[in-house]
Amino acid sequence: MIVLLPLSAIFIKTAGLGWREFVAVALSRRALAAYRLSFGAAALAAAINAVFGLLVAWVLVRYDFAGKRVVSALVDLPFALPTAVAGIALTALYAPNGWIGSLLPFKVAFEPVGVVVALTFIGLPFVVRTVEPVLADLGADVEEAAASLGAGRWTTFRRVVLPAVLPALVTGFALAFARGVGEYGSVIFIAGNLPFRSEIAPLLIVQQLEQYNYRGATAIAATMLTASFAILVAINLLQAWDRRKMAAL
Amino acid sequence: MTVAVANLVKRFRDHTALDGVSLDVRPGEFLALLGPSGSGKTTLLRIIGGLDFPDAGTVAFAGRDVGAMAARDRKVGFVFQNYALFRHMRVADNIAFGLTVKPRGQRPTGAAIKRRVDELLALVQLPGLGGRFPAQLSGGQRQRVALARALAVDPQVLLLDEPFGALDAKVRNDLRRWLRGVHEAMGLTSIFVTHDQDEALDLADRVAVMSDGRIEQVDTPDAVYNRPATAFVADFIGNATRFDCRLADGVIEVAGVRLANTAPAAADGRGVAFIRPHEFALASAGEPGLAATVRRVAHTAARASVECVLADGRVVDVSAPLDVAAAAGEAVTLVPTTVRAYPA
Repeated sequence: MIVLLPLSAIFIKTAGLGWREFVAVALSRRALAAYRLSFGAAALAAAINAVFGLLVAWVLVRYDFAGKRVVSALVDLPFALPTAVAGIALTALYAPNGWIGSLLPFKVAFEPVGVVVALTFIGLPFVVRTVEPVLADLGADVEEAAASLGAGRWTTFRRVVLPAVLPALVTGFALAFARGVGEYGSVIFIAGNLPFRSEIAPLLIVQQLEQYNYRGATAIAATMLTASFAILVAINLLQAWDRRKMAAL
Repeated sequence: MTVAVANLVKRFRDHTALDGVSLDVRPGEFLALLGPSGSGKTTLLRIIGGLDFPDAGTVAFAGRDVGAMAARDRKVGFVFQNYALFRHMRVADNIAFGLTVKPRGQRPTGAAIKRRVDELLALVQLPGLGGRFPAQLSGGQRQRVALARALAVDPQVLLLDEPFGALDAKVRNDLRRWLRGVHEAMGLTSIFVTHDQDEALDLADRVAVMSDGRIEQVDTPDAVYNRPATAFVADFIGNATRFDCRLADGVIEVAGVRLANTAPAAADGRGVAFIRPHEFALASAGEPGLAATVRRVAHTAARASVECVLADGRVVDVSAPLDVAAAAGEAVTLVPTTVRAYPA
């Protein structure tokens, strides 16, 4: 009830809008550009996280080094940090006059790239924390067994490690992606929010609200909700598939 | 193929796992690395297999230095303690792994690989189970799959880390004899790590007894048991009671009884002596020897086991003929017949 009530309210409110009006607001060129940015940047960020998150998880599981606990705690930081703080910090770093931004030959803040940077920051722990236990469970001896049978590092990764962690990796990717689509606080500062260029869908909703256009806001919300729901269903199907595979063993 | 390691030293952060280990394994030999946990036996095995690298010392196969060679190039079969099977692959794919990862030019055809896998499945007595996943097998079956996988690439050296550690006693005994057969049939040079001395003495041609990163003795099971080279081996192998003693001119004095030393000559002075249960004779109280009281007499299959308590409260097991005339509570004298003494 707690979940369903507000959700159904969105659709009921949206239904108050005529179909034509709905299309005009939710599928306007500006909204479409915002969806494209939100979903595109979230997918890209999740993909980056899948690669680097796997790497971080692997290092955390396989190696013992000084400060390992600190690094492990840092991974969780994006979970704990208020998103607005993350957004302001990232903007300060990546702004054209920031520490990192001033070194880069291209603009990051106030561009779509900035959105990807923020979403990558936010999504990393999802991948690391889903992959980590699976990697730990896999055990280093399996990699050693592959090596003693003559497999090189890449072959070992491709044929032994990746198949074992793939379900968890895909789940981590989906979680990071879903989080990225809905992310607001950390993005709006760094994005610059130029319509058609670096304006994300959740921001569009807030703007509609500020103009007291509640129906317009819910129309966009409903569209995003449908997309997010589809993603969650996909995650669940993946996990069910994974469980079935494990149960078969 | 000979396997020779010389002067191996391996340090981990705060302890020395191997402290100058040299060992020559003969072609076709089945050698056990036996020692308590932390004695360095697994580290030695991993260094031979190329999974760890020593801080100093050399490793040579058939006279060729392989010290700098990675595990993937050494062509040794390694069987891991918990088998390390690839869980997401079927049994047949596990066994075929070593063949399918060969460089394109050397890789057998699909049909040849399948034939080899079937051969190996027959060898390890699991015909028809190639389609199963590892999780659908029992511990003993997994162990045999791990062995088949290691043998698929035709290694000349087989390394096994506690191969029977995770199995129950019945399965373990069957598998031991069977492994010995495979070793002989395939003409392998095999080294296995164990902390179970029965296993080592039962299975191996020679046993290397390790303690604290050193090899104490490399010898046949009979020699390791009957002629221990050091006090550690005498104490570790078999059941023995330890006594403080005095050594003088090759004669040991234990509790007033003087006996010739059967261990390698030790310098005169204070020493430690070891006496096994069958190396005591029971005499009536008052005779020269160790005064003791019988606590319990148990008749097992071939011998009687007499549990005695010494004056200082220590419990000594004495193995006696079945018709022994001892009863619980009786005062007796334990007369050592054979004693091995080492410098203290």
